[in-house]
Amino acid sequence: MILQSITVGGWRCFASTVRVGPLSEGINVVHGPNGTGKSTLFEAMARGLLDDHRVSGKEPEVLRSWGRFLPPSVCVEFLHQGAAYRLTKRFLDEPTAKLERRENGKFRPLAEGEAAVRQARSILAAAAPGRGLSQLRNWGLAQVLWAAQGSLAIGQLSEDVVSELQGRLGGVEAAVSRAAERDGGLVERRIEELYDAAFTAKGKLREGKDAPRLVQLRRELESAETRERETLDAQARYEDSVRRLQDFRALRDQAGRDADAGREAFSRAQARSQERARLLQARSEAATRLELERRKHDELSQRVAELSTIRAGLKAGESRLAELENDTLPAQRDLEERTRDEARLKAAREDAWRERLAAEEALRLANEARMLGAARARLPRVEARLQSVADASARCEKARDELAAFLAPDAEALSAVRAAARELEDASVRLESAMITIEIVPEHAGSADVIEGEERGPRQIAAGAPAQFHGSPRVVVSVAGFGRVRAWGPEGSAQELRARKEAAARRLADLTRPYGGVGPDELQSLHDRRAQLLAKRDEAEAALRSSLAGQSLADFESERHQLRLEIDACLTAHPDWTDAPPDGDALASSASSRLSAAAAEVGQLDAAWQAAFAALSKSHQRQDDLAARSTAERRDIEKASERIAVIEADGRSDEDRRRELTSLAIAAQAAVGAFEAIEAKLADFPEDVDRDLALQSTALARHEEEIQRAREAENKEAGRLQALAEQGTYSALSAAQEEKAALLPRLEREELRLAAVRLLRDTVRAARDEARAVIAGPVERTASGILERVAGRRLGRIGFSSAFQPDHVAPELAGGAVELERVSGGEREQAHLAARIALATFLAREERQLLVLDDVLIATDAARLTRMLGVLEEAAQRLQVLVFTCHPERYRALTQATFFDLAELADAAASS
Amino acid sequence: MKLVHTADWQIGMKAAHTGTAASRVREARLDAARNVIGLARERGADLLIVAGDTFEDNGVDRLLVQKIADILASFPGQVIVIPGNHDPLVPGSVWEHPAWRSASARNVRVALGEEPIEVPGGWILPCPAREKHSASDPTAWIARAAASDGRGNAIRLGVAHGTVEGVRQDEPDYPIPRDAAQRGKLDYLALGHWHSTAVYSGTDGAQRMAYSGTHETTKFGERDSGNALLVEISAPGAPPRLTPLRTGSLSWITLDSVSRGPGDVARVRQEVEAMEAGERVLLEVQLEGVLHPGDGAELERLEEILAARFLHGRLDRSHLILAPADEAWLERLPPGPLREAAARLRDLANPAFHGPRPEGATAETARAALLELYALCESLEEALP
Repeated sequence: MILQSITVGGWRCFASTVRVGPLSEGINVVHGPNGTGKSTLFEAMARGLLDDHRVSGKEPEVLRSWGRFLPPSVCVEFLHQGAAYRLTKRFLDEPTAKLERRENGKFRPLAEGEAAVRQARSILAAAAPGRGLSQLRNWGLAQVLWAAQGSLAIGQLSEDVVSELQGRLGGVEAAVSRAAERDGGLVERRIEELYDAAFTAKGKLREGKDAPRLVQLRRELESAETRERETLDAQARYEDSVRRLQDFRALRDQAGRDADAGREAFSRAQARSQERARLLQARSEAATRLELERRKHDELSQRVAELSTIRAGLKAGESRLAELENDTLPAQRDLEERTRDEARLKAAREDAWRERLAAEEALRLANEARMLGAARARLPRVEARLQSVADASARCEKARDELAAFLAPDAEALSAVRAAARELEDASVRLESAMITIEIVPEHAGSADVIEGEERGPRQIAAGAPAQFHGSPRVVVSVAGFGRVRAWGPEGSAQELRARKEAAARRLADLTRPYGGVGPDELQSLHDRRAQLLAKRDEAEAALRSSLAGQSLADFESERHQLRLEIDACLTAHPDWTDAPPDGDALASSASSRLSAAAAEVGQLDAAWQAAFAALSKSHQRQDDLAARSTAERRDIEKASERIAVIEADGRSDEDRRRELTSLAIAAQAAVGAFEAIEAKLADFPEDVDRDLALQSTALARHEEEIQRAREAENKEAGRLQALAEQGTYSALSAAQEEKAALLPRLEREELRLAAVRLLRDTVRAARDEARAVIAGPVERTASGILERVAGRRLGRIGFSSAFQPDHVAPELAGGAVELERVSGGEREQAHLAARIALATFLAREERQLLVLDDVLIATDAARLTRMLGVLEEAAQRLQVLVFTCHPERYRALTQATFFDLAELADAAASS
Repeated sequence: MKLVHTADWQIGMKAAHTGTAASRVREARLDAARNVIGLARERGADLLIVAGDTFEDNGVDRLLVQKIADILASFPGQVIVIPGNHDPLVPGSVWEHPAWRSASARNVRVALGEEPIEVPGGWILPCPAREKHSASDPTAWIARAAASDGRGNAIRLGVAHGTVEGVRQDEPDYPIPRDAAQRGKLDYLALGHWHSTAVYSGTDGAQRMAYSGTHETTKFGERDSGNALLVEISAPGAPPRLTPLRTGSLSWITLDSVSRGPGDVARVRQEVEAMEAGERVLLEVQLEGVLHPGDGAELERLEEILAARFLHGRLDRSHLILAPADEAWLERLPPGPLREAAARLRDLANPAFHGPRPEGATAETARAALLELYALCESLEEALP
């Protein structure tokens, strides 16, 4: 079906009736600025062909022109299957629909009302909407052929359109497939219903109130498994508690047996300990008795021995006393003599010491005199040295000042000046060489005007005198009365040389400026003079160093000061020496001799006195010793006598005592025997029997504690076990497992059923998709070819879904499908347009079809737009293309296209 | 002396294999216990012996313990019970329940030790089990006592729980010698542990050892169960006379059938329909063979009947395979995706199919999918040409 014209009135912005036509069979471009009604015209065309004229309500009311109460009307003239038709519809107010067919050159009524609507829809295989204005899904094949503004992408096509496309595209196979779908469609729909009842579009089980029975069964199974786990755990705890209680009872029994064994061991240890204690007590008593007997024997024995000893000692003491008394008188005489010797030697010694001190004083004086003489001799020499140093320092200072005040270039600077001068001279020479020179020798005096040259301006010339004029690259001189003289030369070099000369002159000036701008020769003189001053300075510094001889000026001054102090101090102590200084050497010699003699005397007398003192001390000591010993002897004799009196006070004789001593010895011996017998018995007991008793006692206590602990643990566990037993854990577990076992078969059946439904649906769908793929293949190839022409090979093949929807491209680089959504906006719209053109081309195999493009390719660049226009021109061989745009200039390359200015048409309609 | 010998009541037993009927199956065991008491009273027994495994586990609901104590106490004579390997004498066991010590259960005595119990007319020599498993002969003490004390002049009855030598098992569990009765100089040895009624003759030909079997069948395939034994001993040393008493009320029936051609499943369904159904029948139907497309509905119908008419019914169809030859209905499908899909599912339903198999497309699933498709087509028959 192709359009011939569209007439619209009372429709939105088209208050007046506007006719667009006649449309060509090829490409038609309807253009106008925004708001002129391009999309409105498209809408009117679509509603005119597809909508029921009787539609009412708020939705169609918006079709009225603003502020007017006109009924929206549209008239579409079109060709279909070789016949021309005119479909006229009026909406809202007294709605009408009339379809006419041209017969014998005139339009004759073909159908009215609903019939007309039905007939029109059938051309595009469109479906009636449920209510209200038709939506895209009701457009039939126009879903593919007509792209509204912003809807270039082919959306989900309705099933009937897909089937229609299959039929029109697939030929026999499609016819068969359509028949099969028609016949088996009910079964397939039922399969889909079964599937949809249980699964979501993404293949997951439905949840919530729409969930299939399987979901509920799974939840029930999960709960049952949870209960099973819980009851299993409880049963396990019950069984564990039984075992633990058995273990605790076994432990308690074992602890009881251990305790019994422990008690027995404790009793044995206790008995041993008691026996040992008894023997220890007996031993203690025997030891006491033995001790007593021994003490009595020893005491008597001791008294007898003591008496004998004292008597012997008394006799010896008396003998010694007599001897001491004989030695006392000689010792007294010796002491007196020693005392006298000591006193004498002491006095002589003191005299000798006094003489020695006097000799030392004399020597000191002599040394002072010697020191004064030396200082007096040294001082003048130091002062002379100081003067010499001062003179040399002054000369050196002067030489330095002269050198600092003298400005002269050093060798490096001088060399640089000479180099700059050479450079300047060289540049001058070169410059002169590069100059053009005119020499005029006038016969008469006159003037010449240098128009071009080194020095421009007028100049007087004398008769017969040569006048030279230089310049470069040209010299022009105008000679009064003669004319103008010109000379040429090579260009370029003089300027460069001039520049070079000026640069050299500047450099030379910079180098010589510090030195007053003098020339190199003068600078050389300055340099030589400076060298002389340097030599002079060096000489003065050498002289100064020689004067100092390694010392500093401060050293000399310090030495002078010290000498003066020494001289002043000595003369202050000996003022008479100022005028008559003594001979220090002579005095020193005399004092030394005297001192030597005095020291020798002192030494001899010291030794003699020390010997005498020692002898005196020894004599004193001997005297004292004799007295002390005599006193001691007398005291001992007195004590011994007293002791004998005490011992003999018992009134017994020596014989009595000897007899008593014998009997005491016998009694002691008997006590020893008894003690040793007890010792022998104690030796059979180990030393640590008490420790063993303590250990056994501790062990027994530990066993008792273990029994108690085991009993407590047993009681605790018994309580826990009773609580668990009362829960009936096994019965609860059985119930949980039975519940689970009852659920499992039901679950398995339901899972099998839903798996079967899924498999059935997937298998049917796969078979259907394969069938559709056979039909959609050519469309893919055609669309991919178009895209490649426009965008190149980069995007690869366009992939279609089974519903003829382009959904991906397959770039070679990507290695797989790339969703169209991930492609750039421009390339995406190119792919969709390629898909529409491909589908439209196939749909137009039997009859020319209308392809409508409302403001598309807005994101396509100019180059690709050009290629796309070429594609459209080719497609126009089979398709009528209707383009709506507000950029007509973009389509000017379509030389065969027919352009309609909608703004002009609307204005013309409004003014007519 | 006239006594009833029973054992292995397994009260509180798990019956997961009976689906939703589990609680009723367990309840039936209590009813069977009451039957034992009733029959013992009816036959004028003086003594009731329960030879172990009265309870399935020591962890059963304590209410059950009270119920059993009450049931046993309702017997007019004396009742001797020994712990078995399922309810051994361990801490926390059912035997610690105060029900056994209450005044109402004065006639019930739980043998807690290996010591003779005097009863009117003789002695009971019990062998209580103290653990779940044991490799020791529980009757050994009887033989030792008999060797030292002789048999005396009274009827001697032994009660033990274990496995008589000769019964095949992987590990010996409470092994009891084949001649335990002779060794212990017993007139009769009442045994428990195995659920089928079995009698053992001694060298003198007298039947002095027997398993009474469980008083109510516990599972499909369990033979000779649901009984108690009436034991009559006229005098010490006389051979006992044993009479089985039917105490169980549940019927556990297994029906095995093979489907070879169309209509076989329907015949099985008819057979099941013709059975005497009831609250005391548990039926398991095992079908194997080929499944024809039209059998799907019959299988569903059979499932319904099993669920509705019996205490427990189960259909095992896991061994059914699709009939390979019956493809006529496939040809009636419209050519195109539907027929193609059906052909693929047919291939996938063959376990021997070696082609690519989509994820989740097991032979069983494919078979079910094909049956689903068949059922859809059948229900929408008008839609097909």
